[in-house]
Amino acid sequence: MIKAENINYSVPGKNIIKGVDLHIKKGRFYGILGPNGSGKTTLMDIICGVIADYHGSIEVMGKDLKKYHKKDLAKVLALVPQNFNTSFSFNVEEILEMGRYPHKKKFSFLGKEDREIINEVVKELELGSIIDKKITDLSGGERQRAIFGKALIQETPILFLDESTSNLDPYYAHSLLKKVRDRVEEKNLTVISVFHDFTLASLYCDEIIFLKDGKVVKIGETEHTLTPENIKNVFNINSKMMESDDKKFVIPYM
Amino acid sequence: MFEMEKRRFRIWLISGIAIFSVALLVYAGMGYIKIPVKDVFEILFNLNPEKVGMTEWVIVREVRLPRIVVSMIAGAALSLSGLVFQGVLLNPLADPYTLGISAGASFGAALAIILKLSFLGGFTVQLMAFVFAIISLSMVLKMATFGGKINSVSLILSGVIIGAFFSAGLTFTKYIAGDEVASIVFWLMGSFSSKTWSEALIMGIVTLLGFLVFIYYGEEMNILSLGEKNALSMGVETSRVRKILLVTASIISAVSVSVCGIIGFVGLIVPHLMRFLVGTDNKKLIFICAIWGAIILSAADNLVRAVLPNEIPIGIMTSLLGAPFFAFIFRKRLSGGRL
Repeated sequence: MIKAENINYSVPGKNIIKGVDLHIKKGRFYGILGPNGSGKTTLMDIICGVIADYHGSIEVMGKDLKKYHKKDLAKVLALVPQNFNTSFSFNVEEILEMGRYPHKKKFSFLGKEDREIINEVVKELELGSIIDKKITDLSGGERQRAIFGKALIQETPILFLDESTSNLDPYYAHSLLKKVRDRVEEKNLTVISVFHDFTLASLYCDEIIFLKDGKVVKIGETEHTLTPENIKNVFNINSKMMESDDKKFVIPYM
Repeated sequence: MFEMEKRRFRIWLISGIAIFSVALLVYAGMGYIKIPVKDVFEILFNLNPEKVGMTEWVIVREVRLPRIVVSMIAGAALSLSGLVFQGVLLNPLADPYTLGISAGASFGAALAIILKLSFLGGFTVQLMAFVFAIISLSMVLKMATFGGKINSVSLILSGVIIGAFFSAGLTFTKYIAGDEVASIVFWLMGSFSSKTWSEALIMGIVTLLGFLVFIYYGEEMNILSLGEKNALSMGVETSRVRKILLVTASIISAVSVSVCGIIGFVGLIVPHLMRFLVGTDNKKLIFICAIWGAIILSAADNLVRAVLPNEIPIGIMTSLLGAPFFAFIFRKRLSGGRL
């Protein structure tokens, strides 16, 4: 799905990403974990085409990332950024409709199929109660859910989440990740998500990528990678693996 | 609510077009010599050539109409570019002059006035104003672009810096101007008096082209308001679209400023007012701002021309009326009310 080789990226005075290799397989849910400033967001921005002046080679679905037309790339991958704010008071519905932009011809209106896709996501993400509200009147969490919906409406085979659930209450955090997880199982969606919450990562990810100082230090199946030992190495913090209702999750402590 | 906004859009668009047409006829009849609307209509469409007197004919066709048309185009141009600046720079306080257009134009005009340049006859001052507006715009863009990328904060800051530079130049020209200082000050306050059809034509063509560019990028403008990362990941080539929109908006406002002088507040206030009326969708706002900007500025000019006992510069009038009006709307919005 995505093949990244020897990715390097620096801003004046600092190397942020140092020789990262990644091989992302189709239909899997990847969690990127790493301390603050380890380059998680930057790496994500590079792979999804937001940062263009990196070194190295990235192939997305067999095609060089740099050769993609922006609009074609937006049909392949969608991003839910860390936080979202705007001073313009669009309705949530207008924002969701913008999600169809990459699939639309210039000056054309949304078709029946587009409407169906939008309605389905509205139902799935329980956006009905805020759909006619102004985005500027919503709370941070509600805004985040709207923009999450917009990304799903983009209907891409690859989805990037950058701590997309950090503003959400536990109900919506889990329910959104569950919906994403369902899409991984049913529609073979590929997900790459930055997490700060080990518990969420352990519940939803197939594979974990540990990032430290701009390098991938560990990558592998969640069960064998998200271990107290690795967490200690990367984050310098203790943690315990718990098991309940045959779900395994990790709790960190000092 | 959504359906309601669609209906609001239709209402404001249709009423705008109707008021626009009627205003043109009514304004042309107003002034020192009153001419009935019916006669204006006949003169305009050449319906009854024998009946109408030569004086009325010349007054309507060669004096009043060009001025009214120029004020309408300027109103549309300034409102449209204000809308684009606010949307693209993600800053509700941006106006057509944010990128230093007015400072550059003022300096160019002042320079032409004190050097008594006249290589292009009556158009020299206007041409110099335009050239310097474009010079200042290029400097701002050059300064704000880094590694092929252009961001809104650095654009606004560059606008302030280059603007300060040209303002100092303007102050200096005023200082050494002697008797010409009055002409410079008068130019700066803006005026639509003695505008001609050729000026209306130039402004009309440039503004229409800009309008078409904005319509073409209306949807991208909406998406740009979601911020750089969202817009990029949704397939908008943000740097290119932003640059095209800003340059186009700057050029149409530069032409207006060069022809009419500095007319403040229209570009700031009209887009805000229209957002209250029809919502935030730029695809609709482009039409609404063009038509209502034209109505509002021409009404203000008609006020200074035909209603007040002594004509005052239009730039003073727009700010005098605009500031309190804006304050009213702003308060209204803070208190949660819709207009």
